[in-house]
Amino acid sequence: DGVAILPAPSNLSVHSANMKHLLVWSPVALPGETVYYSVQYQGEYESLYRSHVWIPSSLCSLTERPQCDVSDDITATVPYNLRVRATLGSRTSAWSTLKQPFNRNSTVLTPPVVAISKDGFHLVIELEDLGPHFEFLVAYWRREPGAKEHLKVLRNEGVPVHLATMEPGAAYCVKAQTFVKAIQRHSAFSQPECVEVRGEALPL
Amino acid sequence: VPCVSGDLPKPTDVTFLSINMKNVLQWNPPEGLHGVDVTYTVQYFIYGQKKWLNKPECRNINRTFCDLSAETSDYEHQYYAKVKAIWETNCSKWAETGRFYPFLETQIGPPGVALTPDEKSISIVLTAPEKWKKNPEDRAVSMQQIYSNLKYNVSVYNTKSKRMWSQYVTNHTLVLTWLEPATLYCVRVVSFVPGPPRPAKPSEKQCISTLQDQTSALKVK
Amino acid sequence: GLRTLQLGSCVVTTDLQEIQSVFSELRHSVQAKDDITDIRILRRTESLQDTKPKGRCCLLRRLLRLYMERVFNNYPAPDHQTLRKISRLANSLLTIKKDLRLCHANKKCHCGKEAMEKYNQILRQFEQLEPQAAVVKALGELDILLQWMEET
Repeated sequence: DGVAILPAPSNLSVHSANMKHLLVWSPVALPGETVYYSVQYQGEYESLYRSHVWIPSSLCSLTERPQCDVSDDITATVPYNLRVRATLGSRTSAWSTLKQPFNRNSTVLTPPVVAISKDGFHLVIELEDLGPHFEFLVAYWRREPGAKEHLKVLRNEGVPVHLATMEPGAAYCVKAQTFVKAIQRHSAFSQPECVEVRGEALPL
Repeated sequence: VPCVSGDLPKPTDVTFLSINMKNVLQWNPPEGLHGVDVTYTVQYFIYGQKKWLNKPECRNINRTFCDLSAETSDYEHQYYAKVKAIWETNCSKWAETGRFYPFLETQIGPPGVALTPDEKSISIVLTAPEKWKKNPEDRAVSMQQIYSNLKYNVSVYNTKSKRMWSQYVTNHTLVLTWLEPATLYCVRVVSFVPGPPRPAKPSEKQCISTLQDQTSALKVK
Repeated sequence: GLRTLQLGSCVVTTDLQEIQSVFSELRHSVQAKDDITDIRILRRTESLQDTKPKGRCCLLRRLLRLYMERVFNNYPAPDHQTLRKISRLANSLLTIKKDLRLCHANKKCHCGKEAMEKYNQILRQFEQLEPQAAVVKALGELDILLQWMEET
């Protein structure tokens, strides 16, 4: 293919948080010129059984920005090789390959943003939409000494989820952490949030 | 009398419609033959076996569907079916389905939903959808017995606060407590089986009002 | 959610549902290419269910090796999208195969007579076909293999 007189991109690295993986690199500086980049990847399967095969990234063929969201390419919990090359007209650079293969199990998991609300006596939680990988381990308890902590595993269905039925005159607190089953890891818990239910308790 | 094959256009959109293991082959009439007195003949095939098999009840039929539930009831097997159009002495080539895997593809119908209101609660009793059965007098088999991991997603809508929430349940009774008295709540339930994605048809929306709060009724007197 | 595969003393946890979902996106296009409908490679008589628990790890390990070495890398993907989906399947199943290798290392994946006979029977079914046809048929039957794994 084109003579590699174009310098190759450099300083490749992956920034990964909450299963969003962004490949970034130092752009090829050619004043006044628009350089395009193409990204390819290879899972462990390809490197073991078909090492000559590189797969074009689903989002970054001839992209202008020196970055590429490879989340839809890194779809198994195995090491992935990634490489980038520059293109300017008919000229292409050599491929630059990520020094260390990237495995999605190294992604940073942050505590989830959750919204607690009440519908009458019903404690309802709305979960952040972090994508299909995520489950939420939600802990809730009645704010009183020695209260028992209840746990529920929920998924984001785009609809508020019923957490508990509260008793009048009591306060309830909730915290949540994400769990990603594909990498068997969970985030830290979010800060507890509490809501109170007014009204006198039922006559015994 | 053998017909001359290929003179007629084939039936179109030949697919299985499968709900609770009731597997019905359906198709559209051939292009350009609407209103013509066309009949159809169906055959089916068990993947990995040798011969196409006839379905006598679906030979030279006028309707555009054929119930193959009995013929495709083995969970281990995958099937094909095909249909051809016949008009006088002409007939079409066969129009064939893709490979049909009932165990993975059948749609799980909605459960039966019974609501019983109280002042501040509504009890929901779910009845698992029933598997297709050959004869009405056969013993009923619940889809739960086939899919042990069957769950239900219960959505509840408070028409006063205009708030909706949902929850997954695995058992068949659920009591919504601490509701607002004299308030209309609407409930809809969808069956769900973890595994490959399959279409799901929710239950009809059912709305019921919680009863008048007796204590406030007494105060009013 | 996660599935635990009970393969005798070898126990493996995997996200089978995700693999089934990816394959369901490919299934009809792959199966449509298989016009040898009177031959089935993965048959009930050689299934994981019909194999004694202590032989299941070996049988599954051999089957995954067959798919890794002779199916995924020989399937003629017509476009990049299909190539990506096959890569996703192959790499996901590779994680299971690596777990089975750990079981093997810990002497929990013994290949006894029964498991080898069943695997060889499947191999005969595979090899009786013309190579390209065998690859297409085997990939089209991945839903059967995944269902066997689901039922262990």
